[in-house]
Amino acid sequence: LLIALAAWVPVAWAHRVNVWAAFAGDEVVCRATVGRGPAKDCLVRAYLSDGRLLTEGRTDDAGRFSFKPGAKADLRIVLEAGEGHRDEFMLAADRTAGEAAPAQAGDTAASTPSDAVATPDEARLRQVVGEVVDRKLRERLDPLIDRLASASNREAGLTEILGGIGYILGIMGVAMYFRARHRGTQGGA
Amino acid sequence: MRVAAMHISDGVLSTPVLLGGGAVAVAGVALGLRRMDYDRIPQVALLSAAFFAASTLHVPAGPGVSAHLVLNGVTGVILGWAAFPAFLVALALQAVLLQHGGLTTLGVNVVNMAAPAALCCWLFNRLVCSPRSGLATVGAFLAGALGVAGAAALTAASLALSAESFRRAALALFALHAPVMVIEGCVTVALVAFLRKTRPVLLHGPRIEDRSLA
Repeated sequence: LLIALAAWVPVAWAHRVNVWAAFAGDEVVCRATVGRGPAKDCLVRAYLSDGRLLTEGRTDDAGRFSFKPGAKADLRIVLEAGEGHRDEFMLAADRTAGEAAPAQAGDTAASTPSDAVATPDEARLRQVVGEVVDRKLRERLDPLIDRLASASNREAGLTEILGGIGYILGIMGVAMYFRARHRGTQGGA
Repeated sequence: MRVAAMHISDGVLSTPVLLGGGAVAVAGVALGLRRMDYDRIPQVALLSAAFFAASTLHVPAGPGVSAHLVLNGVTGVILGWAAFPAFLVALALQAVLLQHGGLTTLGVNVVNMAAPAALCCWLFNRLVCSPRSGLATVGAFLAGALGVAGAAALTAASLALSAESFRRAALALFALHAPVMVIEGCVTVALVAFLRKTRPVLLHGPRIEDRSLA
C-alpha cells in the first residue's frame, strides 16, 4: 500500500495557504497562495494593531488584493480560505521607513522657515531626488520582493514526508521497547 | 488551484470547541492505547504512516479543485479504537512538518478523523470478516466511504460551532469529497480482499479485543 501511495506522491502535495503583504507607495499589496499557485477569490481582512477591522476584500485571479490603508500603521493581514484554511501576516509600519523618511525629510525641510529661506532650492531638490530614487528603488526591488515572498512560502516536499514516516517508525520502536520490557518484567515476576 | 482539506488550521475554531475536541481526543487515545497490545504496535505505526502520507495525495474534485485521500475508513476497520493514537501521531507530524492542520486544533482533528474510523469498525468489522466475500466487499466499500463522510460531517460541525455556517461548510466538504469517498471505498475493498487472502487475523484483531475486554 505504501509503495502504491509513494508512486502517487509527485502529483501535488502542499496545500498550505500563505499570505504575504507589503506597502507599495500608499497602497498595501497582499499576495495569497495555495501551495504553488495563487489563492483565488479568498477573503482577506486587514486589522489594525488594536484589533479593529480596517478593510476586507477578496483576492483576484492572481491571488492579489490591494487597498489603501490611509495612514501607515501596523497591520495584521488575515487570509481566510474557507474550510479551516487560514494564514496571517504581520505588516509592520516601520518596514516602510525607508520610503516614508525621505519624503518626510523633504517636507520638514520645506516647512522649516530658516532652511526654506536659506536654501529653498536644496529642499526642493531633496524632495525631487527622494521621489525619483524611491520610484527607481521600488521598480528594482519589486521582483526581489516577489521572489522573497515565494521563497518564504516553503513547500512541504519529499524530505518532510519521508521524515514524518521516519518519526512514525521511531515512535513505533520506542513503543515496542517499552511494551516489551513491560511484558518481560511481568513474565519475570 | 484551490485545495480542500479536512484538517483545521490554528486560529479558526473557538476555545470551547478546541477544549472539547482535546478532551474527547485524550479519552479516545487512552482507550486506543489500552487496546493496543505489543503485537499490534507495528500495524498501528504502518497505518499511521499511510494516513500521514495520504494527505499529500491529491484527487481532482472538479475544475481547479482537489481534495486529498483520508484513509480513515480503512484504518478504522483494521485498528478499531487504536485509530486514535495512530491519527494523533500522524496529525501531529502533519501539523509540524507539512504545516497541514495545527497544533492547537490537534484534538479536534484527531476526533474528526478517528471517531468515524472507530464507528466504521463497530459497524462494518463483522461484515468485513464475514465468510461470504460479497458481504465483505460491500462492508469494505461502505467503511471506506463512510469514514470520509463522517470526517467531513464532523469537520463541518466543528467549523459551524465556531463561525462558518454549517450548511455552507458541509455542502462544500461533501461536494469536494464525493470522489474521495468513491476512491477510498475502492481502496478499502482492495485492501480488505488482499488481507482476507493473506492475513485474515489482522481484520479480526479489533473484534477479538473487544470480546476479550467485554
